[in-house]
Amino acid sequence: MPSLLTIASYSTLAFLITLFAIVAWRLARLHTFRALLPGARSRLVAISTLIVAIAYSVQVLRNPNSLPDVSKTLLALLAVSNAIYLAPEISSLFSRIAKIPDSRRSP
Amino acid sequence: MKHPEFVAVVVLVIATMFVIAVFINGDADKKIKLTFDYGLLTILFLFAFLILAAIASGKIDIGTLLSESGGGASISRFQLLIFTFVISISFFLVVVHTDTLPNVPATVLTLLGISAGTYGLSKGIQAAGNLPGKSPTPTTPSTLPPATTTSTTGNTATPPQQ
Repeated sequence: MPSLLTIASYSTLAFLITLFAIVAWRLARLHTFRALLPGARSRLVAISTLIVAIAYSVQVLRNPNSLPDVSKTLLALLAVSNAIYLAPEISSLFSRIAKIPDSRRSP
Repeated sequence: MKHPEFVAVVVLVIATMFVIAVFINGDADKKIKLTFDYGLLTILFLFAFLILAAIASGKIDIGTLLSESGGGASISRFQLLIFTFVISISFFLVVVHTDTLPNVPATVLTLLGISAGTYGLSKGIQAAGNLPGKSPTPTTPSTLPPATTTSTTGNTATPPQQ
C-alpha cells in the first residue's frame, strides 16, 4: 500500500494541475484573455511572463529533485517589462499630484 | 435535501474508513491510526473535487478573477496567477519526487516579489484615482430645484428643503 505522503503529494499535484486547467478553460470561455492585451505594454508583460513561466517549468521538469534558481537574465527581463508597464501610470499619477492645489493637499 | 453532494462525501468517507478498518492487517492502534489518516485524506480529496466541479460548472464564479475594479482585465493579476500556479505545481512536483519539503531559492521569492509588487503598485495607482483634487463624478449644482417624485396615485411630492 502506498504511503500517505505519496498519495497526498500526488493528489495535491493532480488537484493543482486540474485547477489550473479549469481556471484557464473558464477564463478562455469568458473571453477575459482577449481583454488582457489592449496595448503594446500589456503584450510585453504577457510575453515576458510566459517566457519566464515556460523557462522555469522546463528547468523543473528536467531536474525535479529540487527547486531550481531563476536565472538573473529572466529576472531582469521580468523587472524591465514590469517597469515599462508601470512607468506611464506612475508618471500620470505624479502629474495628477502636481496639478492639485497646495491648499487641497493633505498635510 | 439542499446539498446532496455533501451527504455523498460523508457516506463515501465512512465507507472508506470502514474498508480500511476491516481489511488492513495489524494491531488495533495501527488500524485506528490508518483509518483516521485515510479518512481525512479522502474527505480532503472529495472536497477538492467538489470545488473543481463547482468551478467547472460555473457554480463558483471566477469571471472577475482577472478583472479590475473599474472594469477590464488586469495584466498584473494575470502574471501573479501564472507564477502562483507555476511555482506551486513545481513545488509539489519536487515533493512527489523527493518525499521531502524542498528549500525555496531566493530568486524564486524575488520572482514572486516582483510580480506581487507590480500588482500592489498598480492597485495603489488605481486607488489614487480618487485624489482630493480629482472628482470622479460631477457634483450636482446647489442651484438646481429639488427633484420631485410622483406617487402611484398621481400626487406630486417635493422633498423638504435642507
